[in-house]
Amino acid sequence: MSSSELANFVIWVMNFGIVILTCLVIYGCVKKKIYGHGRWHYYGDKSTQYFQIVIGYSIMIAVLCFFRFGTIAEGIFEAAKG
Amino acid sequence: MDKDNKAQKRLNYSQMVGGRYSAMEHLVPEQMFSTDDAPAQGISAVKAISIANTQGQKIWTINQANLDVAMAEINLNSETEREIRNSVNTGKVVTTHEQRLNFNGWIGEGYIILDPETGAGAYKIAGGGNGGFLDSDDAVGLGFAGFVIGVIGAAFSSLLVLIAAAIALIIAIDLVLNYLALSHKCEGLGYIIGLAVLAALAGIFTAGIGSILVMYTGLLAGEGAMAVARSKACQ
Repeated sequence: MSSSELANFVIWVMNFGIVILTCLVIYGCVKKKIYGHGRWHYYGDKSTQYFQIVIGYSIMIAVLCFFRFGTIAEGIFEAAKG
Repeated sequence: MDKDNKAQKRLNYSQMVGGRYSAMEHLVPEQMFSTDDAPAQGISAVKAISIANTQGQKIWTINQANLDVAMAEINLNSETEREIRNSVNTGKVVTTHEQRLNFNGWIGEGYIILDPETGAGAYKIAGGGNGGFLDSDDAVGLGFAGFVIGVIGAAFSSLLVLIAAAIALIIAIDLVLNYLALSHKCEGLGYIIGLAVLAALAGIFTAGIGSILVMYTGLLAGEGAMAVARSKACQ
C-alpha cells in the first residue's frame, strides 16, 4: 500500500466512521434504543448505559470530525493527493 | 557582469555566491537563536544536500540526459519531483538527493535549480509531511492511559470504553501522520498501519474487554510496523 493509498484509506475510514456513528446516534435518539458493545441498550430499561453510549458516540464523532476537517491532519490530505 | 565580459566567469561567480547565500539561510538563524546550553539548528538547500551526502545518499545532478533515470531513483515529495521534472524540461539543471531527510524533526528535502546559461539559481527546501502531533513519550503515556481506562470501562462503564476508543483513534491518526512523513523502501507496512486505524474504529462495536484488545493490539501492530519502517533494513 503506497502512502497515497493509505492516506485515502484513512480519509475513507474517517468518513465512514462519521456517517455510521451519526446514523447510530440519530437512530438511537429517535427509536430510544442504541447499539453498542455487542448489544442493544434501551432508553427505558437501563437509561444510564443508553446515555453513556450516546455521549460516547458523540465524543467519537467530535474526534473524527476534528481530524477529518481540522488542520492537524493536513499531512494526510497532502499525502492523499499523491 | 565580468570586467572582461567572460560569460563563464560570471556563471562561476553566480554559482559560488548562490551557494554562500543558501548557506546563510541556515547559518544566520543558527547564530541568532543558539544559546550556550541549547544550540539551534537551521536548514537550507546546501545543508540538506550536505546532510544527505553524509548519510550516504546519492547526490544527483539532473539534466535532460539523465532525467528519467534520476526520477526513477529519487523518492521525494511529489510536488518537489514535479517541480524538478518541469525545471529540467525547460533546460535547467537540478541538484538534489535521493531520499527525504529527517533532520531534528523536520522532514523534507533540499534541491538547487540552476540555469546553466545565466548561472541564476533557486536554492530551495521543501517539507511535506510534518509527522505526528504527539511526542513519542506522550503517545506511549496516552496509549497506556487509554488501555487502563478501557479495561476499567469494560467492567463498569460503556462511556469509559468509548473514551478509550477515542484515545485509540487519536493515537492511530498520529501513527498515520508519522508513517506518511517517513521515507522507507519496505512495501506492505502501510496495510498494517491501515489495519491499526480500522481496529481503532472497529473496536467500538465489539463487546467488553474484546473491544479494548482489538483497538490496542491494532495500535501495537502499527507501532511495530513503524519500528520496521525506521529500521536500517527499510531505509
